[in-house]
Amino acid sequence: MGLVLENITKIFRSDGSDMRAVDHIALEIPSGALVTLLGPSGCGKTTTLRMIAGFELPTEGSVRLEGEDITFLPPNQRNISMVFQSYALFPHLSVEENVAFGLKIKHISRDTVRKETREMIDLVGLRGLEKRRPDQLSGGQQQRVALARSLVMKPKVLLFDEPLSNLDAKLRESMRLEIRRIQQETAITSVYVTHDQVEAMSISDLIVIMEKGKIMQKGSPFEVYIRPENAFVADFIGKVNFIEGVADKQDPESGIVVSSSLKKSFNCRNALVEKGRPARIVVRPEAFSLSNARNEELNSIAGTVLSYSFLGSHLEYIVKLPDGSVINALEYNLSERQLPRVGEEKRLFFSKENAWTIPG
Amino acid sequence: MRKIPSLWIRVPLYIVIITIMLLVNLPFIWMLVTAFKHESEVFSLPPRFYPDFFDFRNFAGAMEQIPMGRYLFNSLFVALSVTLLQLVFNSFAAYGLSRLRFKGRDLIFLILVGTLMVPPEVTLVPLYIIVKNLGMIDSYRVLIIPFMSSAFGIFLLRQFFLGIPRELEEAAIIDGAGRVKIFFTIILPLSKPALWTMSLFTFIAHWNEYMWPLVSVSDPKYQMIQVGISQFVSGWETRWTYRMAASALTVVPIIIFFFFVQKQFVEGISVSGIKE
Amino acid sequence: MPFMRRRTREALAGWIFISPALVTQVLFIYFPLGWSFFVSFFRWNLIRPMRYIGFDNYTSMFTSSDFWHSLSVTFVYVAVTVPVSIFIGLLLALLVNLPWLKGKGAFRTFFYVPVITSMAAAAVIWAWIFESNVGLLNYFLSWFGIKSINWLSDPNYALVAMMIIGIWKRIGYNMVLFLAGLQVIPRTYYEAADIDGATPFKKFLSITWPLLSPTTLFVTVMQFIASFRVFVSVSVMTRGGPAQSTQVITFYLYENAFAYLKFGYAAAISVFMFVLMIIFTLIQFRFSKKRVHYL
Repeated sequence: MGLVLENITKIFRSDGSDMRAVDHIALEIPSGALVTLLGPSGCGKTTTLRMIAGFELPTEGSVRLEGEDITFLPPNQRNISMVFQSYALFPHLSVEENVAFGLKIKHISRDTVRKETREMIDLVGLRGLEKRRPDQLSGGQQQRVALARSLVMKPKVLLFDEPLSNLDAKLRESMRLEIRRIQQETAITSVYVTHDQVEAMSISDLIVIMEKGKIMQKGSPFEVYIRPENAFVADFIGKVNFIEGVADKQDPESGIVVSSSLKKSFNCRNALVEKGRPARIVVRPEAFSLSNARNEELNSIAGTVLSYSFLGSHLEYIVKLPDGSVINALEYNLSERQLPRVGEEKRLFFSKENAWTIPG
Repeated sequence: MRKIPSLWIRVPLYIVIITIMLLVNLPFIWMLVTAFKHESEVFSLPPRFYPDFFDFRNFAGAMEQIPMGRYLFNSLFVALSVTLLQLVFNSFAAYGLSRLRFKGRDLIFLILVGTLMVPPEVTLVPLYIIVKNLGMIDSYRVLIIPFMSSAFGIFLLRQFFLGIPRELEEAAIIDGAGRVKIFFTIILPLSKPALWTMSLFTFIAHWNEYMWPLVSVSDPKYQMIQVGISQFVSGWETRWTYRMAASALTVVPIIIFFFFVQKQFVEGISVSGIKE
Repeated sequence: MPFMRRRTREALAGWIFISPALVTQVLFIYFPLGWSFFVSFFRWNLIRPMRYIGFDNYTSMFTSSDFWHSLSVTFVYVAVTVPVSIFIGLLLALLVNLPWLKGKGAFRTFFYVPVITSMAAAAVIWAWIFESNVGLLNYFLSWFGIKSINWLSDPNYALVAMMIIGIWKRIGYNMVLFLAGLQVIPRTYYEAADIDGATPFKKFLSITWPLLSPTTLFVTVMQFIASFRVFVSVSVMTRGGPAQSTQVITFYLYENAFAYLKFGYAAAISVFMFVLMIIFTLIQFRFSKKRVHYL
């Protein structure tokens, strides 16, 4: 195992009251993997990262790196490097000097420093800009310098603290791929903090979703999207609709949830919830189909169109159900090329495979 | 876009501003004019603003009456030494107060900055007694050592250091830099504007210092220019041309220096607002 | 526990960094300040041993007509120089701040020159301007038919001369502070007033003056303290005379210590000055908390 967090907890004390920023987090990160800590601001993801870096000391628990306990080691003795949100480039030093800063402290021979610095500048694609100062670089280039400066130290773990949040949307997408490419090329164990779920999905081997200092779920991007364990995760990753009800039939392969307000029962893919307990069906907007084809296998609900937006490739509907709840649905198959009318009756179908239950 | 007033308003206002500017600087103009006048011209009425010929002998005359060169050197030496020492000690203190966390830090900050409330007149007598007992009277030490640090400088630098992003420091820490390394390779280079402003204030304040050398130094060997020049006024026999020449030697270098650095200087005041 | 060790190391580094400054400030300001209190209870001329006399220095101070005289001279000086130098400083700031004015930087610099020159040299120069027979000031006054005035040797005028220098020396400083304050006032207020068709005077009264009040208060405090501490001009030009007409409190303190060697008595005066200035600062501080937060 590369990096292991054993039940780490961080309590901040201010004005006599305690704030539990991180609450018994346990996590094992395999060597060479990129793990993302994902969550809204204040969920404890940055504090966790700073405890791995050594800028904060855990109130409880320990941090292990390749078997060695590094909980109380100062940041510079952990063999860890970090890419900061603001990049934290030294404004008075050139690109080259920024990258070489850490190597020079290690008292490595001047030639080696020069060689490794050059290699790293090449790797991030900044050749020709060595003599520039950070303020003469674009945001994306600054980001690359920050990356090079961290990589040049050959760390065992590389930490990213919301590294793309200062870039515009287009650049963010290409830098995301770039970071992933370089991370896979160098095979450095990485921990990546972000609040952007799309970023997390596109880059990670493993996503750890956090809320109020606790881990809500961990899994591959596919798992957390398809099989969320709770409403928070379902809601945080992508758009979602919830249908409230009570679990009925129990068998390992499938389940039935009965909604009294809709006077309907739905077939579901899983049976996480005990019979008779409140349950929620998670249906993604793109799981609905609005075609009128009769198919008794499918779950269906009827409602009236409250509003819709035409977005070129698809239509986005807001549909009001008889019990007053609202459903968000996408329709991609626009063969009829005819727009619906507000107030029109629509029947929405979704398959059993697309109905995932979680505790209500 | 705001309207520009008509010429009938602008021209008179320009005249008013320029007149006030001339009046404010008239003492310096008059000083220079007199410094170059021949003794016989000084008492002509009405006063003449342009001397018949430029007479440089007044400067030599002033130098003969008091050891101007020595005084100027002393002032330069003392003001520079104080400035250098304050650069070191103030920035040390400001770094400790802004970037390191330890118990009692805020109290120490209050103690250090609290000295801004103590005017020098109040400590003049006991300070004199202390340095006299230490045998420091009549020396450079007495002019320099008590001013090795200043609340003003510490305050100014601390404010500036606080503005340096913490992430920069953390980036350096994670790269293996220690406190001293961070201080010298990150904090100080990034604080050049603040260090420069503080140095200017300190240098000019100590070049202009009058009260402390007046009480702590009586030997002309160590006397500073401001006290030196005031000796000119007490002697009735001294010529006005000499006095003005001596004043010019005291004031003109500082004014020229100020013209070069005025931007930083005036902006420094707007920011800190706590020092003349 | 390693946790403690890191904290301790940081604390140690902190103390090392601050200690030179802390030592000098304590040794050369707080220690003398404490000594001032201590010495003020003794009779001491540096030659004979100190003798404890309780509150005698304070009683003789408060019953001394010289002390009250110097205090009243100081307050007259303060009462005139504070409002006048603030008024002129504000006026200059408003002029230099005119949006269409060219050469702002140059004007600002030239108005500031008296501030950076030393008071000692300025006093020498002004002594020449105040000269009674061929001085520049009396010459200008003669244009208006005013007979020559013995500025520095006439008890009726010597303090006025000190005030003129004091004001001249400070207006540039006050101007710069007011300029900084003016920059903070959002332009939108003036634009709104322009739309309403307000006159410049009306704009000053209803926007500039009220929004400038934090700056004005700050300038007032600074100017009060500076005026109260007037010393160099008196020391260089009049030495308290003629007929004690310029005997300000700082010069009274200086003379008692270094001319009459009454160190205990002088210490009592400095304690009195210190208390007075602390009280003033605190009053201003409270006052400022109530009124200043406009922006």
